[in-house]
Amino acid sequence: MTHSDRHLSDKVLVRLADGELSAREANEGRAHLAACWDCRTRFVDLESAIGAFVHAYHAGLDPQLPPADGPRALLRACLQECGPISPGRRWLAITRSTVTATPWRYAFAALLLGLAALMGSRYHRRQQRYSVAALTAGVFPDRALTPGVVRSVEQKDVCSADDNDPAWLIPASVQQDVLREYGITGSRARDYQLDYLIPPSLGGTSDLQNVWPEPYSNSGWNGHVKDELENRLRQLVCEGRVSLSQAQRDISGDWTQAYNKYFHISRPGSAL
Amino acid sequence: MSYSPPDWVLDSYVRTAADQAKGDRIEENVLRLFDQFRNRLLRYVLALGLPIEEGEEVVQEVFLSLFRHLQQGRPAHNLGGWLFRVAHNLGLKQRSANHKLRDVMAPDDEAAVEPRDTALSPEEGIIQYQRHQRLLAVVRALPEQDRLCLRLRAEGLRYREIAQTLGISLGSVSNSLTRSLARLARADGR
Repeated sequence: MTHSDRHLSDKVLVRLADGELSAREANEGRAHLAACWDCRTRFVDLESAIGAFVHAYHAGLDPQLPPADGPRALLRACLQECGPISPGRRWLAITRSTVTATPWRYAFAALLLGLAALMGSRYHRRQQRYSVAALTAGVFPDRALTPGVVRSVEQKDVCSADDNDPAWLIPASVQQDVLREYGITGSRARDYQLDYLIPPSLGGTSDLQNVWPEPYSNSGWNGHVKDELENRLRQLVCEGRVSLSQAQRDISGDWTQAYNKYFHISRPGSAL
Repeated sequence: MSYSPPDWVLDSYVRTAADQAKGDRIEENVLRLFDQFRNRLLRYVLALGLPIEEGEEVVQEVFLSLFRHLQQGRPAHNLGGWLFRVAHNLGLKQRSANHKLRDVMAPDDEAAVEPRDTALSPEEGIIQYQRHQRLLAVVRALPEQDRLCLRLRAEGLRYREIAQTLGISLGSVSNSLTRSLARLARADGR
């Protein structure tokens, strides 16, 4: 088998390695490599350099990447806040169908447009104010009622515990007492979920002082986000990177700050 | 006396329900793409020189932009390239905004690349570490456009996608990668 005296250029070798040549060019290139040891050696060196760079690139950055679970939960919360269609556009949809109905409804359409503009501007103002302060309504328990209670446990107890331990369920009597203490009565109870301030997975108890009603309406800093933090803290505790007492302090204090600390994200709506 | 809403009002509600279902599908797609691309995008924006916290926020913003993009019925083909393009623009904007114009290669270089591979002997680990450092030093010396081409290629982008992300021609991408890889191969001493 013969080959051209002209060796393949570096550019052709790189494009061949990257699959960026046309089918005909690639066939010619491979045929040349099969015949030419010089070019094949350069090709192997090139592939080796690519491999070494990719290893160095990942080794330098991958250890810095925090787990994706927390940011994913935040993204989901933000998407749900955005909704399938913005309020302004929903009102526009209604007014569109209004305008295409009959002319006498123009006045009503104008009224709806006014309302839509008002709601739209309020919506945008709300989005702009999507700050930690605005999000904290219902994010934290009443400290007087729910200061947090822990049992006497050590790291090994926490880490060997079963996540699905039935003892971790909040007793019905405690649930009723919590709702009563917070003054939540009747059908309003359906608007809340009961959550541990310090979860059993971090040594929290099911005492009245460690359970609080968290509104489902919370956007951004909601129970799902807190769950992610709890899982992260338990993982760090079990890896010996955070002490159990520190984890308990962080989760029972301003847990949104703790979230920032352990997931490196300042607030769930920061990108809005 | 009962009241029935007029048809045009009911029609708008039906449409809104359909929008809701469509929105749920879009949300699922965005989260699926997040699972697929989050680490790659985060690595890329970190390599632009952003601290982790800002990098995470940029990535969140990228996916919220994607949500709005899909919500508005815009093209849904080649979303991988689209994500990197938006991440690149937002990352540079953020870097410019916070005036942290330090060496953009810093994250690669400053990170201590320890010989973590437990399959290697200590000697082999040290050799690997030194090799990585040598290659990263070469990358650090490259012009920024060459570094970005290299990283985007390392994240799996094709030449056309790299060209679109950086706003340069296909030929420039090819030349840039050829130049960079030739230097890396020489530095690798093989």
